[in-house]
Amino acid sequence: MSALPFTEYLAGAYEAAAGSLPGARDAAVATRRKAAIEAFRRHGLPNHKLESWKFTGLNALERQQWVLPANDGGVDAVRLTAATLTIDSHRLVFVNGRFDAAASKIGALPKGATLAPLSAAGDALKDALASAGDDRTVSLSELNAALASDGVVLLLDDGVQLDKPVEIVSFGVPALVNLRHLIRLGAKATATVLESYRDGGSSTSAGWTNVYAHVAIGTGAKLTHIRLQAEHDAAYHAALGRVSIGAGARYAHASVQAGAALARHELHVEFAGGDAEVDVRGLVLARGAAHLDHTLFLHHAVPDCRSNQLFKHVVDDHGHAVFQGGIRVAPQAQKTDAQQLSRTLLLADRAQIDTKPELEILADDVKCSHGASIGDVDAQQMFYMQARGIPAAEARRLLLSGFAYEIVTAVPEGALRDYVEAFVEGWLAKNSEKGGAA
Amino acid sequence: MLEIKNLHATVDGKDILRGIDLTIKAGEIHAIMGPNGSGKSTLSYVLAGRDGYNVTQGDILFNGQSLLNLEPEERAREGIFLAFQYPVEIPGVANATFLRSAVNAVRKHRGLADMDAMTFLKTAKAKMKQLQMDEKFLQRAVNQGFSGGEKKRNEVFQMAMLEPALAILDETDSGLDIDALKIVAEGVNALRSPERSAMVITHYQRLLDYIVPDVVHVLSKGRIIKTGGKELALELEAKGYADIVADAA
Ligand SMILES: Nc1ncnc2c1ncn2[C@@H]1O[C@H](COP(=O)(O)OP(=O)(O)OP(=O)(O)O)[C@@H](O)[C@H]1O
Ligand SMILES: [Mg+2]
Repeated sequence: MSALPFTEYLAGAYEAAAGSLPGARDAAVATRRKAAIEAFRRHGLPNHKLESWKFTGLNALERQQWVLPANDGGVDAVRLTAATLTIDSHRLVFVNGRFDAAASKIGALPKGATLAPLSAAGDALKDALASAGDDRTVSLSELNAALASDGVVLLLDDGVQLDKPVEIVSFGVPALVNLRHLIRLGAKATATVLESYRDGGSSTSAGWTNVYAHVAIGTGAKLTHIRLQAEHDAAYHAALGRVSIGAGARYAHASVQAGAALARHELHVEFAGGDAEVDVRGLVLARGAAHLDHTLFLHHAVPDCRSNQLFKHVVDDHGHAVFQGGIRVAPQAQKTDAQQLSRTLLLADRAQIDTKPELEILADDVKCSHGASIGDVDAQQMFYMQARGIPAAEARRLLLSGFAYEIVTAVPEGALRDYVEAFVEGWLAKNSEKGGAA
Repeated sequence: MLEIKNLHATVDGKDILRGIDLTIKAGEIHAIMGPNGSGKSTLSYVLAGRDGYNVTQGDILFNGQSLLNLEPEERAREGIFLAFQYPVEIPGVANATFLRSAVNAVRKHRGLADMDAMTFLKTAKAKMKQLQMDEKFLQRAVNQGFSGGEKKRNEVFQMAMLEPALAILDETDSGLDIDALKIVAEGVNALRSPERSAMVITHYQRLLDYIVPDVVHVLSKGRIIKTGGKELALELEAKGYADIVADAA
């Protein structure tokens, strides 16, 4: 236990590190960071008293004396290969919260495209730091703004199409790592981004990755955004994504969470122009004592937009999944179509899910629906497979893989889907080997 | 091959099978007919080992060995195949994946090596051709969105792939059009051999024109109330069950 309160302890860590953070010599950046750590000191970590933090507590974080990552470290080739795409991509690797140039490769970019690590992004650093969370999320996002050591900046001018995916890979370390991303697509630009958070394997002690991503999708632009959280089993992971979507734009997001002891991926999406479409899918694979949370807030602030949320949870052992699906339809947002579905398979007696739709619908001419189902694998389906000679454990694994399929297929076909599918199948196979709770 | 002795079974505490004796020798085909609710599907589930179908008396011997303590997958690997009256849909699992797992589980039990993907595909496509099934059904999720007839054909396709010693067909003819009925019957007949047997549950004599049974049984209220040759099916078709059921009472 630290002698200092948690916030003061981290404020101290900030003071010590400030001089070596990106942009330290830029007065505007330094001012922003200073203000951010002050905001964090005032707010402290979010607690159960906040409605949106009722099911997920961060007390465990306060019991540790966090260090900021050292300035070195690398990742071994085997680990890197296992965690990355087999096709050519623009790959940015972060180890110890810092850009690892040796493991990264940014290919030739079309005119009008900027892709760089935050630490080398020049003036874009200010833009990236400017964004902040709202009341519900301000504390972690400000902590991130104060301490962000690196991240990715992707800026596409109007009409720029990025053919190869952008692949962001972070390897967790036993330290507090703050990564910050800024993704901005101009009108009619298109891009595919894969973020993956992996176990760095350097130690068994827990690290904490705190991610903030600001995403702005211009008019008629299209972003496909895949996220895989597969951190060390003892790690903590908190992420906030703030997404704004222009008229006629499309945002397809798939989030798989299967690692960490405690993780929350919170996503706020704001529609800023009509005829836009959002498809957000999530898959939680929780075993052991993992506590994995998806919290969403989709704000239909304008008319004529469509959103779809589909979240699936496979919870084994005494794992705990949380799904909070917030939808707000503003009074003027007529002709909104907002759908939400949460489905859960609890594989053990002590497995848990808290699933909570939160709909605030203030317009009358809308199509909104939500649903949730919770159960074990279907006995009839099990019998059908067993009656064909398939052993119970394998039948169960096939059924779970079938359950996850709707999420996996949200990922574009090809190397990207193969990557996600291989990960999910690997998890299920490992779970089936340990005997599960079948 | 199959000896059912004084079999009593309950479902949800309710007596459904109330003393069935039935012996099927190798190479024989037995038809089971009987009114709705008489226990035909229940018998097929009990043979396949479904959870919740409790045998309270009697025994089932398959090649001399009791099945009662075997799991459904163990029975399947011993060579029992049940074509379901209502095939189950499995979203997200491709028919090919499902069937390859099944084929390899059975092969493993027989001491054979796994069938590799190429051989599996070749074999599957050949069998599908015989059954006039589109190859697309391999990539579709198991039974999901299949029409009634397509589901039945898929059952027979699985049977053709697994080559069971004892096939139990529970109303595989219902929902099939006349052409499909012939194709499916040919699929069953293709498996006929002195070593293989079948139990064919049906309501219609027509199927038995194509799959000619050695013995026909009438099941009513959980008991076999009459056994005869293939002409018994014709008699039932003409007169219905009323007389036989009344005679048995
Ligand atoms: N879970 C259950 N609980 C209570 N009764 C059941 C249950 N399952 C089946 N039964 C009853 O058992 C009886 C036999 O059903 P079964 O499905 O075996 O009939 P069947 O001969 O196959 O009929 P059909 O010709 O309509 O297919 C029926 O009366 C049915 O309602
Ligand atoms: Mg029946």
